[in-house]
Formats: sequence, structure tokens, C-alpha cells
Amino acid sequence: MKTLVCRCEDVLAPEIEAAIDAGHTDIESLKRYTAFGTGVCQGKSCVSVVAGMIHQRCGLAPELLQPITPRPPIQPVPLLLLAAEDEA
Amino acid sequence: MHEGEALTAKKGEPLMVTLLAHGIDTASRSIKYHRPRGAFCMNGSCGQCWMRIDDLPNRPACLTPAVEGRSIGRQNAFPSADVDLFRAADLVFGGGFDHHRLATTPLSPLNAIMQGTARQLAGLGELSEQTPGPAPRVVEQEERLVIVGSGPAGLAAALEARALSPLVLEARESIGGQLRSGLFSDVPELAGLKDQALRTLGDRLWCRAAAVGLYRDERGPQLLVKKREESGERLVVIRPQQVILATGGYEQSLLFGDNDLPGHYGVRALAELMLVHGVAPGSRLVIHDGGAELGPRLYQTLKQRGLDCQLLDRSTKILRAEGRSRVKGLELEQGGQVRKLDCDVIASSLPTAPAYELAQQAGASLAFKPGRGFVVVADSKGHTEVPWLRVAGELAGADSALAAAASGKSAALGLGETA
Repeated sequence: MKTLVCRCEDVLAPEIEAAIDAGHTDIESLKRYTAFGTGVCQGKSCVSVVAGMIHQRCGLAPELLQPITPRPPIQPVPLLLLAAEDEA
Repeated sequence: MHEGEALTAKKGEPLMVTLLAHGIDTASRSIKYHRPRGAFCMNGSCGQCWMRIDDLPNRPACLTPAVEGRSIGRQNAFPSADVDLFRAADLVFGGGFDHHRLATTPLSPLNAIMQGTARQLAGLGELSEQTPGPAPRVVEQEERLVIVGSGPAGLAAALEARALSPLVLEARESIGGQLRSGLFSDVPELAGLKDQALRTLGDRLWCRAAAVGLYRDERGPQLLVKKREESGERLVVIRPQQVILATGGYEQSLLFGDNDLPGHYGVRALAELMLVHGVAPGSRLVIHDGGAELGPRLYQTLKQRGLDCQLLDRSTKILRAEGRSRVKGLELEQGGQVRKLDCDVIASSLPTAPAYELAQQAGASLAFKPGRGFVVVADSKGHTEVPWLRVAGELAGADSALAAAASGKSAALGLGETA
């Protein structure tokens, strides 16, 4: 039985909890350690859940939590479209 | 055609709907443990139903329409997504594997084997052998006001600012967002929004147009849009003077054992499947009420239709889902008692996590709200720290469709006068 937090990268709830307990109490550091949020959805399904886990587990004030930086494009775009020339 | 088998579909319905209508709920295999995965959000955000479509890898089956002669297939599985031998990884590493320690000793033979194996197992799809056609030109256009999202917030904002003839962008096939399911037809303020918007805004409503980036260059704000037209997809660069983001939120999953099995849906996805497309992904339905207003509404409607549906309240904890390849039941705990529940669909009805990406790219600040996610910092009228950017709806913290519509209206107040 596995409880998935990040389905894109198969990251499990106990892995996130262990990483928080090991001192990874900010989202960026947790991401780099567990690889959560680095998959195809880019954190849409897991960043808020993980922020909640940090908040609950170590009582961190909400204002100290910031998500990973979402860079464009936020939905997959075929490379062909990006290779196109501008109209002008 | 799905893996050599011909499937009949309603023209234009999402391919995932076609698959579910034929009883196929495994859309892919997961990257590490090769666990079966199916649609969860039906909204292009969860990344679980990416398939090979017309020989191109990694296309979301929940947003790609069924077209006659289209071929679809599942990726990341050997020999097939139904029977994937690499699932052995899931069974061998029952408690998960630690990628920091597993066979990572430098220069050890085990490390070399691990690298070779991991390369075989991992990765998403394979590139097509086809030579792509000519790239469609990028079109650029200027706009006074662009509204991203056509749920209750976006539509209410667009109607309020109609004097400016705003351009409304919607990623899906039709407008309405969470109103699409018809579950709010008893709320007078929401019931007529879609029709009124269609009448008032006409071709200023762009469907199949996903905003994928929002940033500034030396000429001002720039909104990058991926637009699907009859001839295919193209990019459009919009140069707006003002932007209202009403991008809504992403469905979230409850945490329980084997919560990734096909058969676990977000409540909006279940409403979309059953009420918009008329396809039931199972016959014994369970909705877990995690606080989103849609859960109880959908439950009432399904009950009225005589379907086998149960609503679990928040005091009931789901311990795990039963089943190896899809949900076949649940193990629940309530008041210290553990019991089993027979079902084939479980829907999480949690508040959505606001879709803050575009706002953050534009320079707005975010604040974490426990139980919700990251909302955009804005005043009561949705004004952010960025002068040309306003936010509305779930993004601004609205927790109901009615509140979303009200915030959309107030975000657009005064825009017509300043233009």
C-alpha cells in the first residue's frame, strides 16, 4: 500500500514526512530533496498539500511558506509551436 | 482506435470519456513504480491521463477531442498498460525506495546497473518518427482587457466590464467552468450567467484557448496563449492593457492508502463525466465531503436520479482503497471503528488549490491559507500589487461559486470608466 502525495513523480507521504523531520521545512528544499512537484503537473496537485503538511507538522507560520516558482508555459506546449516565427 | 481496437465515440468528446465509456480506466502507468493511473481531474491539470495520440506522446486524453480515425495508445508500460511487468518495482519496494541511497555508490557495478535500469523504466513516452509540418505562425494582438477563465468569476467580470468588449479565454471546449455541470441551476445569480455571456460577448469568448504564460517585456504585459483551431494548435501573443485572472483552482486528492488507483476522482471531474458527458465511471459511487460545496450538490443530484451513491462526512476517515488495478472498495474509520465499504468510484470533494501560476509570473504576491492553498494577495476588489492585474474567484480566496461570481463583478467595477 502506498499513499501518494505527488503522483507525477511517485513521491509518497512518508517520504515527505521524513524529509520534513530531517529539516527540509521549506517547499523549495523539500522539492529538491524528494523531487515532488517536478513532474508533468509541475505541482498543481501537490504543492498545496505539501505546504499543509509542513504547516501541520512543524507549526510553521503560513506567511513563511512560498511555493516553487511556476515558469511559463504552465501547460505543455509542443516545441513546434515555439519554433514558429512571429507574424511581424 | 485504441491500441488496435476500434472504439465508438461522440464526436468532439474528450478521448478519456470515450475510454471510460468502454470500461477502460487505466490511461497510463506511473513513472517509478509503474502503478496504474487513470483520469483524476478531467481538466488537464493532474497529468495522469497523458497518452500517445496520433503518434505524438504526452497528450492529455481528458482535453483532446475524439475525432474519427484518431489513434490513441498508452505509454510507459511493457508489454501493455493492462499488464505491466515493470510493476514489479512497486511490489519489491513496498515501502518506497530511497533514491538518495539505493545503488548510488560511485563507480560500483550496482550503480551502473541501476542507471541502465532506471533509464529503461523512467521517461515519459517516446518521440514521434514523423517530421512535423510547418510551424503555424505566432499571431500577436492588442487588447484593452483580457479575462482569463470563464467560470462564475470570469463571466461575472466580463459582463460587468462589457463596455470594454473584454476578451475571455477558456481552455476547455465550452464556457462556464464549474457551472458546466448544471449543478447550480437553482441559484438565480448563477443560472443565467452562461447564456447571458454567450449573448453579450459572442465571439469575444475564446474556447480551447489556454493562457500558458503572463509576463512583462519592455513593451508591457504579454499573455501567451495556446489556441486550438480547426487547422491545429497555434500560439497567440496578446498585449493587454488590463488583465483579470479568474483561473479558478486545481482539484486536490485526499491522502489515503493507494489513493492513486484509477477510480479515484476529483468531485468536479465526476460531475463533468456524469453530468456533462453522461458517462458513469462506475456503478457504486462514493463522495467524500471534504468541504467543497460541489460534493453535497452532486450527491443530491445523483440520488435524485436513482443512482447508487453515498456521501461520507468529514468525520469518516478513508484509510485505504482496495483493489490492485482499480478501486474496488474502501477501508474506513469512524469513531475508532474500522469498516469496509463496497464501491468502485470514490470522489474527493476538497476545496480546490488556487491556480496562482500566472499571477505569480506577473509579479503578484501569494499567501498560504491552511486548508486551501496559495491565494493571491489582493484587496477586497481584487486589485493586486501589480497595477494592471486584478484577480477574482478562487484565486482571490472565494470558497463558493456564488462568492466567485461576486468577486468577479467587483474586480471589474470601474474598469469601463478608466478606459
